[in-house]
Amino acid sequence: MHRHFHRWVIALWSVVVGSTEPGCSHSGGSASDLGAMETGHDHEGEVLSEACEHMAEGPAQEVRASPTGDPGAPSVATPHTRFDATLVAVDGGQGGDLSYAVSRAGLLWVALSKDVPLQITREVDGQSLTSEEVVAGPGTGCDEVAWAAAYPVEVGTVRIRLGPTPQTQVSLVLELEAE
Amino acid sequence: MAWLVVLLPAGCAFSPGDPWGRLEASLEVDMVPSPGRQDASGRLITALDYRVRIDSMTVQGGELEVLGTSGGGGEATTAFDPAHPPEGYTLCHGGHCHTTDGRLVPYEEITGASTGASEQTWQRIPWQQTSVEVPVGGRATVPLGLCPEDCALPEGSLTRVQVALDGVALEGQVFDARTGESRRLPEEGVPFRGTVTGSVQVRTVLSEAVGPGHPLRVPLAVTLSIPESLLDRVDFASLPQDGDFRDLAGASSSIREALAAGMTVQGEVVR
Repeated sequence: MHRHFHRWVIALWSVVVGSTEPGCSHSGGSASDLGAMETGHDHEGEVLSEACEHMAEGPAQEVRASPTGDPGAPSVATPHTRFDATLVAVDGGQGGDLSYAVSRAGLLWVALSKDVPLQITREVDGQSLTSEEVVAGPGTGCDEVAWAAAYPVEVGTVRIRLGPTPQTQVSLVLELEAE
Repeated sequence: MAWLVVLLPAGCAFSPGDPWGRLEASLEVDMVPSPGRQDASGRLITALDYRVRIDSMTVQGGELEVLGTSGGGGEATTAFDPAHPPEGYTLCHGGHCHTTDGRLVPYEEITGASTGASEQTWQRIPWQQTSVEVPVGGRATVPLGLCPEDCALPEGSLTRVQVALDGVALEGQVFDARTGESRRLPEEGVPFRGTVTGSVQVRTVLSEAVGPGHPLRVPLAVTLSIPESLLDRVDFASLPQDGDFRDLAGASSSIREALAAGMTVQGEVVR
């Protein structure tokens, strides 16, 4: 019920703010597409709290994104870890690919330290995933997380595509909210 | 009179010669994939997009160990405070703590560990049969060996049961779910086999009183569960070839890590 209400708020926000923007029901986007939102979902609050904690305190690993489409995208599947990703040159700026092997179906939350475009696709068939929930600005609960999005995932590997962006580095925390 | 003095410290609970408790342990091993973890053909779906038909899985053991705290009370109790984790733990939140060696440990286990100042091994029982075949989606009984001292337990509380697994051997056929340019294996799949050795131990907390006012028999049913994530980190396409087979031993560390992270044990005293 609560989640449905939240979706309704997001949908309403999309209509009010402007349909020219990609909006919240999107397969790719960034925080600047979305603006600031508040959230009251319990699980969402816990996940965001954990994301904030790891974004601020680590533990941290450095990772270099692979060029777009490279089959050997590095893994960012270590749980409860902040990944400090170095972006590489891609069409239109900086960006690159990372991968996450999903062991349990659920919601994969991706929290980013900067307003960098994000797209999630399934390796098995290349299908782009649509975010189910998006939180940005004060709604994230901390200054360290610029925005976060949740994607429904099945067991299998997903590709995390960042950019294009002028940024050369972005930090990520990924949390899997299992079903 | 002298015989009485000798007999009382020996813990004669119900009749002369009986201990305070007598352990009757049983052990089963299962591997039950959750819905969505198997495809329409019953093959295991892995996180790296492989589909694995397991024709044979044999677990190798091992031992079952039961721990307890002796006496009618007085064991050390330390209140667990996530804000001030015990030594060896760092960040605690969301029901688990991070350890200095990188593991995630549930609060429940830490609470058990931090109250275990007087915890001792009460029984250590080897597997009678060191290799047991486990059907995927089912379970197998592990025959246990002899129980030392006729399975006698002292007065106190059962606090923990732990099971050690010494290895796992697998054989089957693996298929690639990725298609087109992303395909890594031939469409018809490739056979694999291999044995991964190395002891992995899992434990769970018990809370069962043994002594006056409690039955002599302590029937402890233990179930060891092999995780469905066992092969999640195995990149079958990069395994070395051993004759006609891909050699699973090339992924030993990944499989051991999956066992250490995902294998669970449950213990229940069923009176």
